[in-house]
This record gives sequence, C-alpha cells and structure tokens, in this order.
Amino acid sequence: MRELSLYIHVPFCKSKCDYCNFYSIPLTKLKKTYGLNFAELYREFLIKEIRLNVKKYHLENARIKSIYFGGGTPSALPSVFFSGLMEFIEKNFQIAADAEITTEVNPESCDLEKLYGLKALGFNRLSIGVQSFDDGVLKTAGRIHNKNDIYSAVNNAKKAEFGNISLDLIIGLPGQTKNIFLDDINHILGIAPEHISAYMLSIEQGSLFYKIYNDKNCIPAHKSPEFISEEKIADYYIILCEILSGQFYEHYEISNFAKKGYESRHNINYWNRGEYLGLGPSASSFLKLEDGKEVRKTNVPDLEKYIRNISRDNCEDESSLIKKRNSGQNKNEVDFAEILTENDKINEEIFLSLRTSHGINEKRLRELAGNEIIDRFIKEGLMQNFKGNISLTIKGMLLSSEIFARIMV
Amino acid sequence: MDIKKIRNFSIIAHIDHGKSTLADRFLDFTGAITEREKVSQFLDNMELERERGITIKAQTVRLTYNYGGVDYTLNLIDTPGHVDFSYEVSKSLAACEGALLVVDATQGVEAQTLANVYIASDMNLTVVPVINKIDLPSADPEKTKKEIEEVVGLEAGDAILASAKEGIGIKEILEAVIDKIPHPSGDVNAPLKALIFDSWFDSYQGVIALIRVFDGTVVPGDTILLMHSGISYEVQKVGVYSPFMKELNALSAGEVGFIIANIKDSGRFKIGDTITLKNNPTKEPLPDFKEPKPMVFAGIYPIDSDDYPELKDSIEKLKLNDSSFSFEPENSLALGFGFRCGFLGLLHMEIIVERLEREYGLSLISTSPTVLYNIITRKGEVKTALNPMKFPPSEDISMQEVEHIEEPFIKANIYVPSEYLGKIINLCVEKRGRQVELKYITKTRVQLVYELPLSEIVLDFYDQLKSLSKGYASFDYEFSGYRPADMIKLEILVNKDPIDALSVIVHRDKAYARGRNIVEKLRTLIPRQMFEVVLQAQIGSKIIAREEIKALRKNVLAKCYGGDITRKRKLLEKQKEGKKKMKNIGSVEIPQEAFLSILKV
Repeated sequence: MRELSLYIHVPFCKSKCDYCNFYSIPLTKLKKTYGLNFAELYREFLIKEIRLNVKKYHLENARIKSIYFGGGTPSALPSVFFSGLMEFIEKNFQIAADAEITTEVNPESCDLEKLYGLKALGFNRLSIGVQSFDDGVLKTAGRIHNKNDIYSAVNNAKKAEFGNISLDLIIGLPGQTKNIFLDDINHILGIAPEHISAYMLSIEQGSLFYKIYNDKNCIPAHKSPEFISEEKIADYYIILCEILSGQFYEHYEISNFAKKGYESRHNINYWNRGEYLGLGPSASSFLKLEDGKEVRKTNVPDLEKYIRNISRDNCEDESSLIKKRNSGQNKNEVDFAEILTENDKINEEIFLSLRTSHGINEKRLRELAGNEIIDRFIKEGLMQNFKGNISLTIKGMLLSSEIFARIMV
Repeated sequence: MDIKKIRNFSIIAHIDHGKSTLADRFLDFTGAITEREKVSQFLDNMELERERGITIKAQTVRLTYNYGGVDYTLNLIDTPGHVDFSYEVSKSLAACEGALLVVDATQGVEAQTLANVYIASDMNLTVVPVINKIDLPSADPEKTKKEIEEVVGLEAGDAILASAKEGIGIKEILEAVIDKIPHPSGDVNAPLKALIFDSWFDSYQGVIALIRVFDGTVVPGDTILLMHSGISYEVQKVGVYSPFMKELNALSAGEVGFIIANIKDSGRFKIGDTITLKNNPTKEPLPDFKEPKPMVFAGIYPIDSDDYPELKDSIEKLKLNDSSFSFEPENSLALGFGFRCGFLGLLHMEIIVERLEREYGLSLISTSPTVLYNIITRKGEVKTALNPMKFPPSEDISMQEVEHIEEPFIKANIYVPSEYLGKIINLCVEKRGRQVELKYITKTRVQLVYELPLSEIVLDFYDQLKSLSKGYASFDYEFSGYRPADMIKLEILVNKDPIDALSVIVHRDKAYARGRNIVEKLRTLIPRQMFEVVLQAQIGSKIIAREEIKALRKNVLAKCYGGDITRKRKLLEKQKEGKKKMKNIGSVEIPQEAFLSILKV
C-alpha cells in the first residue's frame, strides 16, 4: 500500500517575527487583497492543487499516514478553512486509522472554541509555538504572545483533550541568559508535553535579526538585541539534552525530543525518505515515480504566482521546470523541481538518517564514507556505534553539518 | 624577396601603454585582418595573457604596406613586457633593426621601458619615439617629449603623436618605420644563419619556432643543425604569420617567420640558439646565448594525492610549451608527492600554476617560493638547497659540516620620482639592500641602483615599491652573484607536528618577526576545526611564536522548514565543496592559500 504524508502550508501571519525568514504574508494585507473570505479562497486553491497532483502522480490509492498544517500561523485561520480541507481529504483518500494529524498553533490564537473544532475534525496533535516563556525575550523576538498566553493555550489544549502536545522552543534568542533559559526548561518540564522541538537560533538572511546583526547602526544601540554567542548556544543545547534525557524524553532527532511512542510521525517520514505532498506556496514535496525516479519539488514562494500556476492547471512536469531553472529564470518565478541522482539519494540517506538517534547501518556507512574517517569521528567522540548502527553524539549533533560535509559522497 | 623592402621592428612599451592596441591598428590599417577575423588585441592570443593584459609569449606578424607605390614587408615582432622575461626580450630585439618606443602621454617613461630601450641601444637598434594616448585629457605630449630626451637620451622633437585607441598617427608610424629603420643586411648566398627568438608547443604541429634569418635561405627538406644543442632536424615547413599562419617555399636573409621540424619538445628549440644547415654550416653562432635559468623555486602538489599522475602528465606537457621552467619530483611529509619547480620569477610562477589549474583542471597547492642557496661545507664543497625542507636545521649550521650559507643577490635599477625617494631607500634598507648608486636623472626623477638579496625581491618588494610610490616607482633587475648570509630555517608546527611544506628560509635578523607574522596570518586563514589547533613557529628546537585556533563548537543546519530537503542537501554540498579546497595535514584541514600566504607576510 502506497503511503503518503500531506503538508499544508499556511503562509499567513499576524506579524512577522524578527528571526523569521520564511515566506509569509501579513493577514491585513491578505484581507485587503482577497477580501474577508480569503481563507476559503485559499482552501479552494489547495484543493485544486491536490487534485492536479493526484492525477499527475497517481496518488488515488495512497493511504494518508500523517497530515501537518504548518506555517506561518495556521491557527490564525477560521475553522471553515480546516473543515473544508479535511472533508475533501477524507472524501478522496483513505486515511490510516492511526494517522497523526497535526496543526501548528500560536499561543495568542488558541481559543478553546477553535481547539474543540479542530479536535472534532480529527486533529490529534498540536504543535504550540512557545519559543520562550520570558516576556522580555518574546518581545525582543517580535513575538506577539506572552507567558500567560502560553499557559492558557496549553490549558485549552488539555481541556479540548489533545493528548499529544508538542512545544516549540528556540535556543539562543537574544536576551536569553542562562537563567532565563533554565527557567524556560523548568516551565516546559512543568507542563510535561509529549513532545518538544528545540531549534538553535541561527541568524537567517532575510530576517530582521540578520539586518540588525550585520548593520549595528540600523536601530538605536539601547534597542539593539543582545545576541547570544554560538559557544553559549552550544552550551544551552547540551544542558537541554542532559536535562530532558533525565526526564525520560528520548532525544530522537537533533532538534526533537519525545516521550516514548510520541515521536512525530510526520517528521520521521521526512528523515526516512517517505513520500509526501506539500501544498501551498513554498511547500516541498517528495514523490516516487513509477519508473523508480525520485522527485523533489518546491512550489514558488509567492502567493500570487502560486495562484496563477494552479489556476492555469500549471503543474508542469519536472523536466520543463528543470529546464526553466537552468535557463536562469528567477527562482521566485517558477516552481522548483529536481530528479534525484543516485549520489543525491545516498547523500540524503546519510545526512537524514544521521539526524536521528537511530542512525545508519554501520557497515553501510563505512562502505560509503570509508573506515578511516568513521574511526576518527568515533575516536573524537562525534559518533558512536550501538547494535550495528552509527549515530551522532551530542557533540557530533552540534557539529553535524561539518560531519556530513566530510562523509557525503 | 628584396631585402631592401623589409623592415623588422618591435614595440617597446610599458604594460598598459598601448602596445597591443597599436598592433591591432597596424593590422587594420594594412588590411591584414578582416573585420570577421578580428579578435581584439590579436597579438596576445593566450587566454591568460588577454586577462592579465600582458604578453608572455612573443608573437610576430608580417604586414604588407604600400608606401610611395612600393610594397614593403613590415615584420612586427612582439616582446614580453615583464621584468621576469628580460632574456626573451633581448632575443626578440636581436631579430630587429629598429623599435618603436611607445610612451603613454599621461604616464611618462617607466623603468621597464627604459631597461628595454637600453637593450635596444646596445644592439644598435634605431629607436623611433611614439607618444601614445594623446586623446586623453591628462595627456602632456610636450612634457613626455622632454622626459624621453632627458631620461632616455633620445631625440624626441619629431616624436609621432598618436592615439592607438582613436586610430590617430597610425599612418605616420608605419611610414616612419620605413623611412627611419634601416632595412636588414645579410647575404642570401652565405651559409644559413638564423636566430630562434621564440618557440612553443602546438598540439597539431609540434614545436613551432620563430626565427630571424640573418644569412642564407632555409627551405622545407633542409637538414638543420641547432648549434648550441648540437641536434639536427629535417625542416618540414617554413612560413609567416600574416597574422594567420601561411606556409612559404623558403625564408631568406632578412626575413622573419616560423619553422616547423617535427619536434615534440620545445626545449630543443632554445631561445637564442642559432640555426644553420648541417652540411653547410655557418662558422660562428650568433652571440649571447644563455640557457634559461630558473631563479625561484616552489613545490607544486595536487590537493588530492590521487591527482599526482595527472599533475605529472600536465607538467610534462606544459614543459613542452615553456622550456624556461624546470621541475623535479619531490616528496613532502605533509603534502605527499609533487614537484619542485623552478621559475624565472614570481609572475612566471603564478602563470605556470594558473595554467596548470586552468588548462589541465587541477587543484594545486604551491608552497612559498624560495631562491637557490649555496651551502658551503668545511671541506669546501658547494651544495645547493632549493628547498627549505632540505635545508639543514639551524642547529646544524654552527656545527662542523657547514662553513657558511650563500644567497643570491641581484642588482636592481629603480626609477622613482624624488618625492618618494626617502620611502624607497627605506624599503631597500629594510630589504637588506646595499646602495650602489643614486643619480638624479632630472630634477624630479632619481635612478637608484641597489644590490638586494633575491629572496627579498621574491617576497613582496615589487608590491611595496608600487604602493610606497603610489605606483610611480618602477624597477628591473639582473642577477649579480652569491654572497655569504646568515640564513636559518624557520619551521611551522601545526598541533606540534612540523609541517615541512610550511617551512621557510629566512635571515636570522628577521626570523622572529617572520615567525610571529606567519603564525598570526595562518591563524586567520585556517578555519576553526572540530578541535583546537595550535600553531607554532620554531627555530632549531626553540619555539618563537604561538597562536591558537579555538575549536568549532556548533555547525548545525538551522530550522529550515523540514520538508525542504533539497535546500538542506545543497547547503551541505556547498560545505563539502569548500572542504575539497583544503589539504588534510594529519586531521587539520588547511586551505590552499595558506601555503602561499606565508610568502606575503
């Protein structure tokens, strides 16, 4: 049975966070351009996109094993958006009985009514964008919620009987001193969610932080955020890993921790190179063709162009997209697609499986990368072997890009 | 061909003073090249030459110009324009009866130009002054004329005013070549006597040599004798470039052209050698033949040791093309198998390395260049050390075996506007120079003659000279002999291991400063590794400098949206490509440029 995960992207936000470089559109602008029923409009384009892809990739009989609404801020949309989409998916696909159905929610847009609605639609997992519990740190990061919002969101989630809650944490937000960070951990332990995602902050090009970081004069000195050094962020990460493992969270992927049985199936599917269909602007898909070829594609990160592509039935085939890309057409103009080479596949296998605690078969890795370097990494405490598999140590996880760059083929 | 209708000339000009553009104009004006065939700056035909705007290999072109109803054959012989190549210049000039001295009306006379004019005068060439770039607003032809008279000592009252770019003065120049430069003399009936003034390897034709016939005639089928090499070949083709290759039945006294004799190694056609006929040889070869002599030496290694066979193959091929560099296999603990190569100078070295990388697609490491030291033993033996790795450790120097070390010196001719004189003298002193002469050529222009260690010139002398004088000082040099010097070996240690490829030979007085500078520089060039790296400089067993590179703690892909694996893979591939440009020394990854950078500190 062909299994498939669905990712639905909601690139809309009330306001953009200072560390964020994702494609997103302010809600106010959206309402102005598309009217008050923009969410229903958007929903219909997503449905059309599913139809086009089902036809093109012969997904009629695929069984859905996970659905994930990410953003952006999905919780900023009204329930009519979710109900319409879920209805369509249920009608057109077989959904596995144990399917994981997640949506991301932000603490400030997480009222009880909405959560009851989501629960009734079949959602069984919430991922709450907490980031920090410190109001000062949240404000500096441009977040519009505070600590109280987080607690009321968590309480609402529990009231609505969500039994699988994930909290998102950012390590190393400006102003996050060691004490604040330890407090953040304590709050999390108090809530005791089933799942925790913890990402180390990186200053991404296109974010406000990037601008400030590279041009100290662009805001007054006293307003300038106090950035945390890479060294400190590494220290914080190690502290978090140690504390969580003491609380029976399994560190099952570089940035993810879960109580046993609550590992995110949707994310595991990414690392196991399972198929998924990503919908909406800037969403990515991974699909296997009948001739054994594997395709990765990413939609154009622009709502208007996305709409134009979909309304033209413009799900172009890979070769024409690749040609367009190679002919130097602006990457923001067209969707991106690639057919993976054998080397690409091997490299993905290496760096995706080594992100997980399960790791990769030792014999296979040694064949791919050579004994010398694997022995060296083990000796330097960056890798460990366990039951015939190789995985990264915490030190190795912190240096994972360095390691991957040296063992990729 | 009537020898009286031939003119052989070259252009003497400083880099950028417009030689190549002028040559282009000659081609246009004489109709030698059609629009369709036109490639800008035809004479510099190697990709690298065009990029750098300098001529490395000489070219020659035959032009036909009708003047007063008579067709004249004008042979323009191009000359290299860099201080590293003065022997080649002298041989190109020896093929001529005259030269155009082209001076930029905005810049005035430069040292390299002057050096070449002196060579031309020594050879009794007729020098015709041309003042170029008169179209520029800052041009000052009168001042330039005066400078030519004062600095060069050449009557410049009737110097031709030209702008090669705008096509001004081209006719006047061509006619002056005919009027002023004497036709060649020579005896067609005497035994063959021809000068090789350039040669290169062509993958289809074998080695092509450019020759000037002084006496006699050479035709295909002749068996020629190369007088200095003592080797004979059968001539296959002779001809001229006009500017495209054109075969002829013969080349006779007074003519310039090419000769092909099925030779695979350009080292056979040595620049300056004399060609004669085997069964009817000329009595005396042409004077002043010199074997090409490398002055600086550096190790060249593949970054990936698996590329060694390819490097070997490529170096051998390149040697066919450029016989003036030398190579021998060398083995470094740090870098593995490679070659110790000898070059005429630093520019020559850069060109060779760049050609190896570009034309043969290799990734290479070149070590810091060094000069050839003589090690005089107590027994009076002279050993040469062209490799810091083989240089005796400093403790040994005071020991029984070594009596003393000698280093090569050069005599530098420096021309500098008087306002920068102090700074330049200071530079020469700093570089361990000894003043030989200081002469005011004009009120504002000084000629300095200094004896300087070649090793200091190899460093950054030229760059510093230019920067201290805002570009106005210029110089050329010639080898002047070996002198005793207190040279010692400075070793660089990476995580306590001495890295042979990073060791340098320095003067004792400068060792401490060099050692400190080198490790500081390396600290900035070597990226943070996954462990701490300690860099040390050492003389004998004494550590004189130390720097640390802290371990890298974190390099994790950020939260890019989970599904976008393509982006993650591409980011990692980019990092992987970066690693490829590094050389693994033990487990430390050292970037390519670090090896050469120690030259520049």
